[in-house]
Amino acid sequence: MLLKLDFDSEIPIYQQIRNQIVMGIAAGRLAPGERLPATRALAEDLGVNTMTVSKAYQQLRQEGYVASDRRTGVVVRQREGEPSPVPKETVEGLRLRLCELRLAGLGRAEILRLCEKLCDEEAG
Amino acid sequence: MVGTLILWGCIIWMVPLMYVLLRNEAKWKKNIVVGATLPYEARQDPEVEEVLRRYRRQLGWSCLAMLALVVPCLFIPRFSVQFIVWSFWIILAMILPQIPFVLTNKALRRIKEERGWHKRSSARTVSDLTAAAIPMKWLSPWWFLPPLALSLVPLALDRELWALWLVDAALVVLCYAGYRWLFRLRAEVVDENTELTVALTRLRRYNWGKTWLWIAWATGFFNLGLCLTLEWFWGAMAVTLVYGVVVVVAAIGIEFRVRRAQERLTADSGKEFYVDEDDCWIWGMFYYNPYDKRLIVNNRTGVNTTFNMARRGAQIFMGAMALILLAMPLVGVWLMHEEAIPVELTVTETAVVARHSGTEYEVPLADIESAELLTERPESSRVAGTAMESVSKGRYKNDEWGRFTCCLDPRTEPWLLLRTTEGEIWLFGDSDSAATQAAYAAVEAAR
Repeated sequence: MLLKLDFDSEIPIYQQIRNQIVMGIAAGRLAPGERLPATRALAEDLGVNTMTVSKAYQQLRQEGYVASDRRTGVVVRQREGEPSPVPKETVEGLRLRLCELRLAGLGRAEILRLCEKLCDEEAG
Repeated sequence: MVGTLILWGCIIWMVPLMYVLLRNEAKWKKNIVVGATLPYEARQDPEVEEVLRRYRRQLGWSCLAMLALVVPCLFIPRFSVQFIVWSFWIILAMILPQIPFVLTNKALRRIKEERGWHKRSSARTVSDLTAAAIPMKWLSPWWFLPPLALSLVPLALDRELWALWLVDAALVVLCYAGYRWLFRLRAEVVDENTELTVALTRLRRYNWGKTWLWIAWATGFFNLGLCLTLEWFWGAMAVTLVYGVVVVVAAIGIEFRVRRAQERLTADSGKEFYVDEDDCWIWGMFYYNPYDKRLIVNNRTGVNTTFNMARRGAQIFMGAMALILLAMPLVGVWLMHEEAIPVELTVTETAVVARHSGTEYEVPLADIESAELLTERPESSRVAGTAMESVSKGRYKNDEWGRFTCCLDPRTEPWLLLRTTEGEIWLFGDSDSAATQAAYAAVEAAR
């Protein structure tokens, strides 16, 4: 999976790393159990500070997307059983995006169509 | 004339080497040609093909011009003037063949803009997570120990020049340091094909280690060879020449093997998504990316590395290198000054004193066992010191006397040979014959 960072973007670099890894997992481009680069290796590859990558990995760990131990390094976590509860921040973020779409002039049907299209794209 | 030929022989090969390397840039590797990243369709574009043909032509002519320039330079009479011309020639040889590269790079970027192939990318970086996760298998330092041990053998054979042997051995240690710290651990992402990225990454990493190991072994053998032939000038020259050839041939051979593999592996790349970092490469040759925190970056093709010019350390280093290069002609000016100063030989109440420029040798009269005026100088070779048309000074050696110290003007006979009670030999000679004869008379009178 390719990670593309935009240094001119207003989204912080660590957030871009986190977001793209989440999207990669959701789309199946990163399979459960797949090993991610070590913090230092990814920082070297991207040309960013080790702390930036460390922060992204820490967030991914806290959110349960990846797990890490000394032997295997950082790996994508197996999503098991019932879907985990959606974090409050995600729901609030979604709500904000919906408001933005509404203000952009989209109706309920159009918003749902757009969501379906995005879901299909992400499903591959 | 021999000195002149050696002087030019040391550097003239730079031009054909640059020609071969720069001409190779006109071949497609990793979707890059002459420092410009273009999509697959550009390979059949008639305008691109014409630009590349022109590049090869211009490159050939500029290299030929540099070689032709050497011929009249060979007949410059004075060594110091020769050296100044030689220094300017080096600077010109490093710049002139690069001009077609820069012009072609600009032409290709213009075509790229016109065709809509340009992707703004200076603020973007791409990483392949799978390839980046492959750990680098560094060669163990043990691999560098045998050449280090080899380079230390001369210490046991010739203790007098221990400093020289230690410096040479330090070069082997530097080879390991260069291998370990002059490399950027970055995956070679060309497009979305992870297998290709992994193959290209492994190719570069393997050959990077191989290059440094070769140089380390060559340096070890060079040290030993130099020690064994140091007493024989041409032998030492031959060993140095062989060392230079082995290092250059090995490094260039590996570079071309990697380039050929990159060309072959990416022959079908660039049809859909491809990585374009052109905006980070000034003229396609200098990496400038303020968003990249790293000082060392890998060259786009081949196996070598370069600096990120956006980093202060790189600017200081490259600035210093440019200054050293531009200051080289000043050495010639200093040589002119050295050539112009006569050698002076005087006898004081207590010693014989030979002077030239900042050098002074003093032999106490009380220590002199014998003095002799020579009208012919025995053939000698320099161990350490200066050998110019107007002055020979420093440590020399020949079969008859072994090692001795001299300070004389080789153009003006006679020369004063002094032997001391401690077995030391000194050979002096003023730039004025009468002064040497007067010095001899004074020494004889004092004894």
